[in-house]
Amino acid sequence: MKREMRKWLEELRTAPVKKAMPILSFPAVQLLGISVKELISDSDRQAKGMQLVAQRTDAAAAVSLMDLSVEAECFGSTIRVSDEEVPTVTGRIVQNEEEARALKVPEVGSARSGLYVDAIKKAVELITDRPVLAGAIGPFSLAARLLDVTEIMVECYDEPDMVHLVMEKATAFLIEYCKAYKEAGANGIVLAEPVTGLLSPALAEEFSSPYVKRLVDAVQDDYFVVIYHNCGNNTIQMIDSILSTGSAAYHFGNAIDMAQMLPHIPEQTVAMGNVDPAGQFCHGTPQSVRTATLQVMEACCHYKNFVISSGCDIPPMSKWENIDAFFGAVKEYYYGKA
Amino acid sequence: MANFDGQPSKLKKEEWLKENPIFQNVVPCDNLFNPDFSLSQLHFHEFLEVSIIQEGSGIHRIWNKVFPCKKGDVYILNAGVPHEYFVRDQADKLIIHNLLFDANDWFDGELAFPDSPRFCYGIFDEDLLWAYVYLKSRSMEKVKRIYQAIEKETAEKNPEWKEAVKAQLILLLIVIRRHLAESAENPDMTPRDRMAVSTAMRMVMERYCEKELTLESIADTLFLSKSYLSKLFFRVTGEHFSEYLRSVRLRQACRLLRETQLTNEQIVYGCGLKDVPSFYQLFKATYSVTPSRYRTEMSEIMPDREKRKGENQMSILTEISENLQRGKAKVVKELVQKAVDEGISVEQILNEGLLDGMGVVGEKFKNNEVYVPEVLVAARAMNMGAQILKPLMAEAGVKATGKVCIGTVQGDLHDIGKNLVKMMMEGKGLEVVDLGTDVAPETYVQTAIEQNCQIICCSALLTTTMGVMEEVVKKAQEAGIRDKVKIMIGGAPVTEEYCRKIGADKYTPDAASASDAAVALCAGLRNFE
Repeated sequence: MKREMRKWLEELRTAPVKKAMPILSFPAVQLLGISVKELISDSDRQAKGMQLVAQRTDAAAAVSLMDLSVEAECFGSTIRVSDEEVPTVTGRIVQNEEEARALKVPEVGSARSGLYVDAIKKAVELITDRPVLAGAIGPFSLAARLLDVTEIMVECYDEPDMVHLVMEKATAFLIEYCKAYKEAGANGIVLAEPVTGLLSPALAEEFSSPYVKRLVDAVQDDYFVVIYHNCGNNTIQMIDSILSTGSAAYHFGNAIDMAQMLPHIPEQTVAMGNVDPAGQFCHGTPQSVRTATLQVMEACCHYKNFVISSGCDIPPMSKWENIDAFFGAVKEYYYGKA
Repeated sequence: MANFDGQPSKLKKEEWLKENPIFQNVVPCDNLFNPDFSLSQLHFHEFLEVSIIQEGSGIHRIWNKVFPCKKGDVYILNAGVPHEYFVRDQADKLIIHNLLFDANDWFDGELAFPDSPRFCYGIFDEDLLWAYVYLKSRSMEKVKRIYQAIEKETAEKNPEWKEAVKAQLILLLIVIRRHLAESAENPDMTPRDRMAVSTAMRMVMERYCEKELTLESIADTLFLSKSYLSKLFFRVTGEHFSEYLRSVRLRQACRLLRETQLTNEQIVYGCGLKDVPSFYQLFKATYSVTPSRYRTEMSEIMPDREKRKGENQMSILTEISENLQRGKAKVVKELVQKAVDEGISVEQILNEGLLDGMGVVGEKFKNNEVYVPEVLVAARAMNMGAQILKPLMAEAGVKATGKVCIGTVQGDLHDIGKNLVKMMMEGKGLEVVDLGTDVAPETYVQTAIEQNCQIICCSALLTTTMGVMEEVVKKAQEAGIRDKVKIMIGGAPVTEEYCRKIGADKYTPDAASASDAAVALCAGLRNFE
């Protein structure tokens, strides 16, 4: 369903009582009674899963799977799939500049990318009461999967041209991939750029933000927004370059103190975060989730542009009672504030 | 070609850098019209000039050499280099953007400018009096932004503006260095050809003092014909071999004139030059001054600098430490070898050089002053140095602080955290056995027994795999090694509480504290013994 997404974000920002927007999709496996392996290989089940999550929760938007192996797999990376865990990319497919030059930009539709786009097409049919956001990896995090996460850190110093070359190709693919989501009816995209959070601010400025900006410029408009996600621990230090991407909204992980981040975000821009997904949603209890959620909200909700969320993707086997407790705590916090 | 006969005027530091320690100006072409080279405005500075041709084309005369210059050209002129720009046609729109500063004021012995009075050293790792670089549009844009930022900072003088300018200067250096690295790659040549030329250049640097050094002798060593190597050399360097050799020898002669009190005869001998009269002739023809005049000029321009350099000369161990912190692996390796050759003890090189440097990096990482990539390049430099020391350590009876086996737990393939911890631990003098990723609980225990490790270190990123850590603790108990081996755990989903729950010994939230904890645990175990 076509929506005026900038208006939607503005309404979210100005609302005295805000809906939560956790990155919540993989725990749908429990509602569907299937494994992660089954979920990632079936667009019908993905759409159905998103619908079930939307029916069960009062989230501000429906978010699709944060599966950061899809794009690398299109480039030829091998992935490891398991029943209970989000797929992981293994090995390195670009070793040197020659291989970087030879690397082909895959077509959208290759590997599982077509399936993910289809899932969104189906989800937008099923979910009409809120925006549907697709998920994609950010360009640097994709390049890091192709070059190896540790190696790319060193290559930024040793072989910057090679890194730029891979970044160019990663970005070219991601632009087309995001356009395909847009065409499929998605209202926006959550763009996950976690590896950038490990870089120094200077390297992030050179190797990540310009490429994210290029992507944002290519796909973002009034009806399709980019929500930039970075759960690294240096995001406060590199916030200027993150904001230079021009994304419509930002989402940060629990490696940082959200209350320290918010003064750096322009008050017209929505910023989301950051209840610990592993420690609370997955390993916590309903009581601890409630406490943690209220703590973040107490510290941050006086910033009008803050929207409560999980710090990152909520793990597949997180207990639903914990997820429900999160929404319960949000309701509790806003009770009587309408 | 114009000849330089007259006296160049001197731009004094006290006049030009009085208000600001850095000065920027744009020279429009109107001031540079000089159709017949008659109006010499040859001048030199008591400070450094980085000039960028932003628009148009013209002539740049440096000493008695004339260079056509165009948009994108960058000239770096050290103190004391006479030069001038001019245009021969009023239609030429030559616009030069200058940056004038004394590198010593900004970078006295600091990062990125190893030899502070000579900016070129920071770029080329070579002692050049002046240098020329041609920037392509992408790098040119970056340089323009740097100039604008410096202009803004010096105009506004907000708090910490000097720090900001300094950062921009370092950035300028980096942009030029990266650009040069990019230009060095000539896609038309095979790696073998490039290797041949770089080997030839290296041989020149090593053997320039041999009078008999010829292209033929180098070509023979490389199993290439003289004419083939000659062509290759010209393609890569833009210079004929003989010119290159001559310029290397002359640069060395300049350095010796500046930095030593050697006689001309000694310098001629030390630089592989023919004889004193031809040295005079060559020197005068190239630099337009005699060697002795050059020596006097330089001592006036840079009073006490060389002396100060001598006083400040870092000991080789400090150099190892500082280069390691900058991630200069090759330099660290060379310095460690030099230290070994000079008879410095292996233990001292390790502790006061390598581990000292890594310790600084670890502290800075803890304080968010450096980030993961900087730690990784520093660790690589340490490993390069350690490679040389390793065979000597056993001989000298130097033992590691302790031994650790580390790995990412079964089912988990994420390894950057594990790699960081490993490098930090090595930086503390611990011996680390890297088991890689997807490590079964039995493998940790077996390795600890077989290799006498005092610590097992487990990493996990996934919430579903961290449970394997509990298995590791159980297997260690079953094997009866819990009193001899400590178990450390870490990773994004792991917490202190989880550590207590599964009965592991230590949880640390980051790589730096993990390495500190490991050292403390090993020391504790030794005391217990």
